[in-house]
Amino acid sequence: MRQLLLWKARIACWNYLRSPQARVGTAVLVLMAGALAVMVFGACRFLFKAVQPVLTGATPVPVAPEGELVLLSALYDIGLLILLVSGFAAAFFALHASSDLPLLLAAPFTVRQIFALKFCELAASQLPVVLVVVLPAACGYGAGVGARWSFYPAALLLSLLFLFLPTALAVLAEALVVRVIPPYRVRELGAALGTLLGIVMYAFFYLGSSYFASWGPQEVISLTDRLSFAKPKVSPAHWLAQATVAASRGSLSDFLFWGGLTAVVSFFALVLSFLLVQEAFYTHWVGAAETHLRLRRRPLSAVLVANRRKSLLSLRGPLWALAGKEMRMICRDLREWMEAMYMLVMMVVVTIAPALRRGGSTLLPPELLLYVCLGVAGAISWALVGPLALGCVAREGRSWSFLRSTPITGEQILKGKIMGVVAPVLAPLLAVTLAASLLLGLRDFRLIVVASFVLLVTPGLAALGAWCGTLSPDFNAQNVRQRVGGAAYLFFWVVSLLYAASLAVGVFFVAAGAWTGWRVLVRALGLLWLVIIGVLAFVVGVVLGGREIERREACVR
Amino acid sequence: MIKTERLTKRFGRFTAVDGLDLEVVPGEIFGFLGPNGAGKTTTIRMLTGLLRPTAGCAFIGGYDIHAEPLRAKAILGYVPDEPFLYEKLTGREFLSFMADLYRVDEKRRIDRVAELLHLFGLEERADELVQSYSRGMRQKLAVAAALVHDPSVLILDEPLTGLDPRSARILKDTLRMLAGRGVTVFMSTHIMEIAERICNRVGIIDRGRLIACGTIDELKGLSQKDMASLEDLFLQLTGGTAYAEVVRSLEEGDLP
Repeated sequence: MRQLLLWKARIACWNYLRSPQARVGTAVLVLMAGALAVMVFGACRFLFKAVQPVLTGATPVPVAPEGELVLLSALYDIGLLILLVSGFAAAFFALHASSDLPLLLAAPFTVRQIFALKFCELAASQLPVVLVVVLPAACGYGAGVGARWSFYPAALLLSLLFLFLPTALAVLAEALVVRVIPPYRVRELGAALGTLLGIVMYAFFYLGSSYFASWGPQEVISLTDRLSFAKPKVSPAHWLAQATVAASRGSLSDFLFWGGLTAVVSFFALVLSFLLVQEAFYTHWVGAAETHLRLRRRPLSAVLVANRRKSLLSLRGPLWALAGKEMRMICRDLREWMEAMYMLVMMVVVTIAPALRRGGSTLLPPELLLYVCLGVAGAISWALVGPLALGCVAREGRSWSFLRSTPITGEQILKGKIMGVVAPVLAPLLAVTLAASLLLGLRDFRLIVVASFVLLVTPGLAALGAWCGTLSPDFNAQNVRQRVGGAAYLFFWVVSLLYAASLAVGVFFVAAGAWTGWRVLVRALGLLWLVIIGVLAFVVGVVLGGREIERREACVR
Repeated sequence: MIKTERLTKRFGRFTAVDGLDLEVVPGEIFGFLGPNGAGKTTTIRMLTGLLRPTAGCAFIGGYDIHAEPLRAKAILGYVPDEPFLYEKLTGREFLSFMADLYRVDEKRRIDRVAELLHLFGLEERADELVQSYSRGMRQKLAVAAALVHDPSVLILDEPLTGLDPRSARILKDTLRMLAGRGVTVFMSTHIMEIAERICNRVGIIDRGRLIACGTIDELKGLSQKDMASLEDLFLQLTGGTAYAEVVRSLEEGDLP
């Protein structure tokens, strides 16, 4: 067992250090993690140092009796939530998608040993979060309140509890969830929820940073009254906060009581999760659960087939087949949508928030509003269509050789895929861009201009994305984000910027028509330019992407 | 028909296939045998246009697969060594999709898909996503997909892997029936018994070179032993007789 653990650790280290590139990547990651840890430490130290005079009564303001505790508990709640989500994902992959499980189960190990091994793996995967977020936060608190040196070993012990408790709870939750929902659906739902959490956190940090910037200690303390989620005494975050506060005040008995309580509950969760996983191994082995059924509703498909037969416009042929297949693959996999959603929210926050932060669209000159909205529409199109188009070739996965053995050219493949990407995206894209335009204050016929602009630029954008995706596709990638290499991704940025610049020239000409004597002609030229650029982007993307597909051997190793 | 002329594939310094000359005529089932890593799958990938040969050329139905890939692929059915199919399509959708790629007309497509689903016993689960299929079911679906457009050349890479006895029997009978109709069948396999039973001719490849080719009787004639089986001959030609030493060592407990 020890040998196995050592081998696992060796393999993990080898993955980080196997090549010069990997070593550089690891060094960069370590540096970034170090910088993040320093930032967390600094932020917590600053926060607790700032509120300390208020808490100790040095400043005469109404103070909540347990303000410090509630504040710490709220921070721990966030930390526990992050660890729970990452722990759940890690537990799912360790118990369902791990390639070594069949080998381990067939080897002379007990289920308890395998569980212990997997638990160690999970805890190790959580360790970076604890070292980068939790420990610096606790140390920052200690430094902020001026705790004695004995606080810091106690903070280290508490960090270990942070490692133990969420991992056990995550395994427990995972074992329970997989009983109810088929694992492949859990994977999709997990990806969706994880992305939503990421979106919320991103929006919170982006919008919240300016919101909280003007706050003073009094506001922070008064906030503790409203943090009702951090007050329940049955919350593990509250116990850990109690233990931290006790450690900072040098109260050993309180520290042992609250820390011990957390440890006992963690152990209980661990035992329960072990029993559930053990039972799952013996009855419906969790690793084999990928064979869960998912029935398509026959009556509905029968109706669709019947309708299709009756349809006057019977759209058949390789292009439509490819487009239909692409649409099904995107629409039936939440992970595809979530990546696009994440980019979309990011782009909306980046483009809309600055305007809102300055007090809405009133500060935007009315003559510029349309052009700002066109820019926002372009950015949103890029965010929603870009990820889907960029990964469209690699989305084939290892079926790629199957597809390439059919009598279909690379250009046909790309056209079908672009159709399949653009079709399901257009309606939500239009809705979001129009909503964003309305939010920025755009009204009347100019909304139609924005909608037309979106319809014009989106196919070209998708084609350019698909072309860039053909440059370095990874057909073996499990993660949606890893389907294309970094160079292709950067290239897509460059190509998108060039496309945006070309479109901006057209928009400039259209706008220029308003203040020159050649009003109609210049506007017409501008419009023509926009149409040419939109069509050209589509043609260039399809032709170059098609050539790239034909140039490459279609073997997936 | 299938024809290769000095077909060669090199990966860097390693030569996977070395000057392969082959001809498989219509109505023939050709068994392509060889030890692991001999170059079988590389040859098949070149025949299907997935890999570009370093030298030489391959013809499918008279069309050079690399000069006229669309014409060649239109008459070709291919079953890959691993049945990686679209997980998010149902079995029925997958077959319809493949039929559309080969431009099978709608009336024929609906009948053909239903026929193949019935033939391979996939009817009951035809409306489930492929991701819920077992390996054997995926293999059956891959074989069905290769047959959906009535190809005149069929190339199968280890087609019987993962199939249950009933499906294996159906596939063997189907291949014989197709060969009877004039379809050219090129099949790689590790199972000597199958090669002996259903193949008209057999080619043995080792380290990228075709070391023997002919009917089963012709090949048996090459053997040094009387009444040798195809398996004995295969081991004799590919140097696999060394296995006897290993077995003896295992018996005597000499191995560490």
